[in-house]
Amino acid sequence: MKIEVFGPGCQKCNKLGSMVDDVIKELNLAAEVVKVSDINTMVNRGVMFTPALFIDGVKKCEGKVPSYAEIKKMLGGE
Amino acid sequence: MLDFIYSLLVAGIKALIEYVSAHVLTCLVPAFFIAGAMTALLPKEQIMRYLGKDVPKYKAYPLSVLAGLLLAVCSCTILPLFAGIKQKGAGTGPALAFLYTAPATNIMAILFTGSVLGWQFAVSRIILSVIFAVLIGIIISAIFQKEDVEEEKNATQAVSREQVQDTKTLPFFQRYRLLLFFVTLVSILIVGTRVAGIARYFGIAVLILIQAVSAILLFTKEEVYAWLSETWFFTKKIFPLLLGGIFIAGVLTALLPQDFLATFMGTNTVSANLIAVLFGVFMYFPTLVEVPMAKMFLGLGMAKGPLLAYLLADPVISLASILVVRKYLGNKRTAVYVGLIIVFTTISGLIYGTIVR
Repeated sequence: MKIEVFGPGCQKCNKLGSMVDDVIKELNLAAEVVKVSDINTMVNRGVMFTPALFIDGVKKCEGKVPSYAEIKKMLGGE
Repeated sequence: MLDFIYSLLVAGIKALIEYVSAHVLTCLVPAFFIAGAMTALLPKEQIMRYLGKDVPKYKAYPLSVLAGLLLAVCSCTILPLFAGIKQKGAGTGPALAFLYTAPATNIMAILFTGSVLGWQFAVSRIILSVIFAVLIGIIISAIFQKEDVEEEKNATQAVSREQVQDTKTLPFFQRYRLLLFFVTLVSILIVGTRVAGIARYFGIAVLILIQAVSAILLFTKEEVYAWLSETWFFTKKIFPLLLGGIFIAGVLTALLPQDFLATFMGTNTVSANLIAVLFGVFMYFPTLVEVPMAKMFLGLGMAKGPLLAYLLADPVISLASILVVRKYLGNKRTAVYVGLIIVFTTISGLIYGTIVR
């Protein structure tokens, strides 16, 4: 599984990043996490609002920090 | 020496107490709730949809200004949005209009300006910022038409398409409940700052009740949670900076010689306005801190024209933001952008200073 966290490095984006890391640890997933901070890449991928979360190339969430439970669900945990 | 430091500390603390008691409860607390509601509840994708590639220019400019007013309360969302509008959406002109309005008409800054410096300043700040945003966007895209066309060729697919689906399912009455919600929030602020006596406490109590009931009845639990957590996020992020800024402004008031500012900016001349603008461009204060700073300048004898010029210039550009903008616009366009802002703000300071005495 490839997980991408988009954010230029603001507080919220960092929070999303660390929550994703926590979820992966809890669910024991074999996932590759990439943090994208380049704004041109964001624009090319269609991200207008940060933070955004992509899983296997699909946009799952944009413009807000989802709750821990929501992230868990997106990553396939219950 | 110790006495001197002590007196500075006292000046800082006095300024803090004065601000906190006069403005925090009635103005800032509602303002934080409003900003939180804007970030959490407004349908952002829906607003951005109107800024797509094929939107005619006469619509694109007002819409980007509106987007700047409504959307970007947090500075870190401004740049991706700006780059998005420029490359995938309505083009450079509207993108610049957005880039300009987003920090300049920041809802909290306007409300705080009104509460601390008077509503005349606040209203002038909004109106002039909106006019400048559109003018600067139009002028720059007119001067640099060639670059625009080239960049448009490079644009690949439109972003707006895929976002249509997520918003179409929204129920129609969404708009009305949002309207009700924001009207109540703003009323709390107005009653808190403008109504005197016992009517104020009664009015606020009733309005808070309406707010709470409408939050529970019209919004889902997740939405209310998102609203409150955004509000808390803003408070946590901005409040400490603001307290620090107020403290420093208080210390500076005690530190600077009485006629220091009055000498350079006490009258409404071109040079006074220009100095005020340049100070605003090169000094960087975090959001909202420019307001207590301006209050301090006013107290130290700065004329009203230069003060408005400073208030207009300070939030829009700083050295840091110039460097970032340069990456997306190139040297030439950035130079013109900064030059236009300096010229426009200086002129408006002059005009304001002549009208208001």
